[in-house]
Order: sequence, then C-alpha cells, then structure tokens
Amino acid sequence: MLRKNDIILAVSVILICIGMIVLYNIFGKEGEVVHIISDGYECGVLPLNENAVMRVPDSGRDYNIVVIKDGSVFVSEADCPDSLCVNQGKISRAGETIICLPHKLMVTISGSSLQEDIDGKTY
Amino acid sequence: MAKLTSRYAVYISLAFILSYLESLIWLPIPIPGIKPGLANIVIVFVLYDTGRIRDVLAVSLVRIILSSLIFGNMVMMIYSLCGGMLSAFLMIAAKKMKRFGIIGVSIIGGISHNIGQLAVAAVTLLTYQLIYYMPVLIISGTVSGFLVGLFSGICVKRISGYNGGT
Repeated sequence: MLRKNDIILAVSVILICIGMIVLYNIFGKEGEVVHIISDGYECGVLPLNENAVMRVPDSGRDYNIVVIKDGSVFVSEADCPDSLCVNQGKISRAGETIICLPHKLMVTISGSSLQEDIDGKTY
Repeated sequence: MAKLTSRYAVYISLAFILSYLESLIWLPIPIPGIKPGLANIVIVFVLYDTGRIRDVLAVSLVRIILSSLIFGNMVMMIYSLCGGMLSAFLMIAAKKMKRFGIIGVSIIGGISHNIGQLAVAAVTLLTYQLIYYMPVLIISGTVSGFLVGLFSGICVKRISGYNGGT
C-alpha cells in the first residue's frame, strides 16, 4: 500500500513547496502598485501607499469592493456565492494575489510603477 | 451487463454523495481549490478493483458532470472536469508505471487535481500570477492524496474482488 517511492515522492514534493514558500517570503519585493483586473481587463491601477476604495464594477450585481489601506489590499465585501475573496485576507507584497473566481476578478501587486519589470539592462 | 451497470451505479452514486458531503461539512479555506477530495476514494478504489481504464474514466466523468449539474454550475463543471480528468489520467499512468503504491498514486492524483484547477483559473483570469498559489495547492493535494489513498487502500484490501453475493 505504501512503497518507498511513495514516501520519496511525498517528502520531496513537500520540501520543494516549503522551499518555494520560504523563498517567496525572503525575496518578495515590497509591493508598490495595485492592479485590479476584471475579466482579463485591467480596470484599476492604484498606488499601494495611498488609501483607496474601489467597487468593481461601478454598479450592478457581481461586485467586489477592493480596499487599499495602510499598505495592504483586501476585499472587504462581495456578493459572490462563496466569499472566498473576502476571507483571503490582506496582501502587501509584489506577486501576491487575491482572486474571486466567480467574478473573474484578480487583485495583484506589482513591484514597480512600470508595467513590466526590467530584469536587466545592457548598453 | 446488468452487473456492470449496477456496479457503475454504486460507484458513481458513492462518489457523488461523498462530494456532496464534502461541500456540506468542510470549512471553506480562503484559497480556492483546497478540499479533501473524498470522492477520489471511490475513483482510486475503482482503479485498483477492476483496473480498467474505461471504468475509472467513466465513473470520474459521470460523477463530475452529475455533481456539477446538481450542486454547482457550468463554471464549477469546467474546473472540476479539468482537475478531475487530469487527475484520473495521471493516476492511471502512475499505476501502469508500477513504481508507486496506492498511496503514491493517490498523491499524484491529488496534486494533479489541484494543478488542473489552478491551470483553468490561470487561463480564465489570463495571468501567470496564480503561480503564487501553487506550493500551497501542491502540499494540500499531497496531504489529501495521502489520506484518500490510505482509506482507499484499506477498502481495496477488504472489499476488492467482491463479485456480488449469492
């Protein structure tokens, strides 16, 4: 039922994942810009250091309320069936995301004001 | 033929009820896609009981479609189908490789189920950023795969090969 390969598989997978989580936390860049993407379309780009509240979409059903406060972002309210997005808590680092699958909403943070990070330059 | 139909019926309804049960009693963890996957106990059992590819795929497919139609919606069906069928295929392949025990196969099933669903989410939201969730989903898939495999292994030991009473 349990073979040696099973244990090798489980242990190595778990170790790799813990490693990834640790790396994320050590090398995570401080976020600077909050992107709010609804159905693939970027409808909000806001600085992380300014408090703000945004309702996506502006009116009607299927909404989420995204709040930027004191350097972190969270969803304070939504009318989706599972409200997982509200329970996902706060994010503050580059690359972290909050998603609401029923509403096709993704809130994410990027590390610089440029759309794409420049990884390196040569002259 | 009637025997096969009734076996399928038992497997499918068991898996169906297990997935319903799961949706009732499980506390929703904030990350989409984390669940124990109780219905997979049946899938893994079928894999080790009859061992036929068509049985595993049929039970999986019908169970997913049924429970998504009745307890969910089209979006949920797409997620479940991608995760569930990927999981079924990889488990069949893993068993054929003859390198893993039932627990290992089930772990592979659990991991691939979550990765399949994450992939659909990434395509739906048109982003790679969801990769941030991958470590947590993989660990959760491993743990639930382990438990499912453990339980299913016990069932296989005790029930497998049972061909109907007299």
